[in-house]
Amino acid sequence: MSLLTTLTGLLLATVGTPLFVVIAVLALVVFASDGVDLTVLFIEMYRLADEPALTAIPLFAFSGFLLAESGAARRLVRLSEALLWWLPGGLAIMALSVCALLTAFTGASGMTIVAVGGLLFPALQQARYPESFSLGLLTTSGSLGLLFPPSIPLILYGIVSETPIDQLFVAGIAPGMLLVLALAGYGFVVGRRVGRTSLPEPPAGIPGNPPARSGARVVSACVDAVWELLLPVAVIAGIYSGFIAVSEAAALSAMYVLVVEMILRREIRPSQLPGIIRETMVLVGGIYLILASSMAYTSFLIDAEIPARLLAALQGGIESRLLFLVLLNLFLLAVGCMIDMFSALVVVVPLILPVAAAYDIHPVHLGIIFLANLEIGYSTPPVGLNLFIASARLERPILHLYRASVPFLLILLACLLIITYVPALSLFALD
Amino acid sequence: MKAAEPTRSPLHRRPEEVALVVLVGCLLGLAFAQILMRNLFQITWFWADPLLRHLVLWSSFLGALVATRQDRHIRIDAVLRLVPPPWRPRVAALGDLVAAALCGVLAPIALRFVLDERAYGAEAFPGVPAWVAQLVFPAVFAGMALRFLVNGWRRVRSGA
Repeated sequence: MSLLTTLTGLLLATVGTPLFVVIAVLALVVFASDGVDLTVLFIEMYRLADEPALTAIPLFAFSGFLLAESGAARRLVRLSEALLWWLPGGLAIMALSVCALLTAFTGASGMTIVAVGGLLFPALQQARYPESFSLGLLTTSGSLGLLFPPSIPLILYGIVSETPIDQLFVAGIAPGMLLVLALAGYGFVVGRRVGRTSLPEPPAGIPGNPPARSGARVVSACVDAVWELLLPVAVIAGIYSGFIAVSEAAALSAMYVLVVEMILRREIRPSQLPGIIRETMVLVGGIYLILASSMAYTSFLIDAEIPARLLAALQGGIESRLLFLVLLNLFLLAVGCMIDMFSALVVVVPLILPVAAAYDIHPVHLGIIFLANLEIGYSTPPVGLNLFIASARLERPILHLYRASVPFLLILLACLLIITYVPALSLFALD
Repeated sequence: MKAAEPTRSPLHRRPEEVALVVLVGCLLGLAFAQILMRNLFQITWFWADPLLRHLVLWSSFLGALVATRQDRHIRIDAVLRLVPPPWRPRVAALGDLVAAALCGVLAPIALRFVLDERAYGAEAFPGVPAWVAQLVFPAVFAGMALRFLVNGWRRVRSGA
């Protein structure tokens, strides 16, 4: 019976039925066959209205979408260009940093590639970086930065696993830096071959741009981007100091971005707001519905002691923690390239969490492993989502992107091994 | 990811989108006001937190309704990409049909849940009974059932 429902679910999922439907069908069938009153589905769904951290998700997503619609990306590009023009690969490194910063706010919604792809791709091309390098860079950067606060997948992991979100925010920083630095190193190597380059022309639309390579330019770019630069600092400081809760930080940053981009900078017109709100809530609504339909599925898993049985089955064959971690990585990479990050978190975390605990893996570390895997899976052929978004946005055939992403994936996989097998990298900053 | 649709006057917007703007506006305004009140005036609104969480619930379900109309739900279309292009709309329409059927089954169950809760008489937050807050479940599932049907029909007809 359960095998049959699982197979039906898999079939439905792969023909493109929305994922929340697949999960809800499974829950419905399981409960109906147990003779449970089906209103239990909604009792479980309504439990979401008791979850305080959920408020943070729409508010952070709203800030991210506002930032993506404003000229924030352009300003950050200009600033990093003014700072890094002297460094071989500076343009590539700057592209990575800007993507990472934006993705921390937009989550893995593909917004980063959409927002900066059109700006950075021509710049990389003009600076004579090989096309496949530029494509690979922008594809993988689409999810780079997910380990930095206040990324939505981190918050979602915290909610699903009942792990303190502020601890996850601290734990993600060093592993996230490792990923960015490793790719930056690759950018440096490629950049040395290409020669020293900067943006060929001052980015359009910025009046009074001082000449390149001057101290004045750094200062003016800093002043120009100061409001955006203050945001991550304020969010992180606020949460870490314990002064504000995560959901309060979300409300403050949404209000801050709204005031800065709409009133101070006037880059977002009030008439754009309904569209931005709709885009935000389409994303959040999709996540929320998956979360809602899986509330029942999760309580079924626990009632039926599925994680315990899984653990028993695993412990027969897998004795070492190391082997378990290897298998976990392989499994999660496959999951990451098949389904989107939010669904993966919601569906897989409740299953794996108790098993990982039995192998003595810290829940915070597990979260970082999870997200690092999913982040890489996002750019992994054949079905990683970033590849399709980049293909659409940069107008290149998908097969080019498969080839272009390979060197980046190899580097990221090496980092993944470090993140997985050196728990201290994630946990050293926790008390 | 679709670009934002061209600007329209508020009157030409769909009611669900107007409702979304109102709900998200309240969410942001209230969340912000609550922080100010607590930190500047040491006043805690005890009803604010449950109301905020319900605003998230309602606006997310409305967002899901919009996602259905725009055919933008999160899905795995790995296999769909392998189906020969002429067959794709029909296979995808099958997915829509399943989704419509599920939402159609869930809507009356949701309604029964709401009626149960009404008999039980709990409060969502002071002044608002839980069953009123929960009406969003049957409404959105019924709406999504219809929209999935329409999506499937359009897909087969347009062949895209």
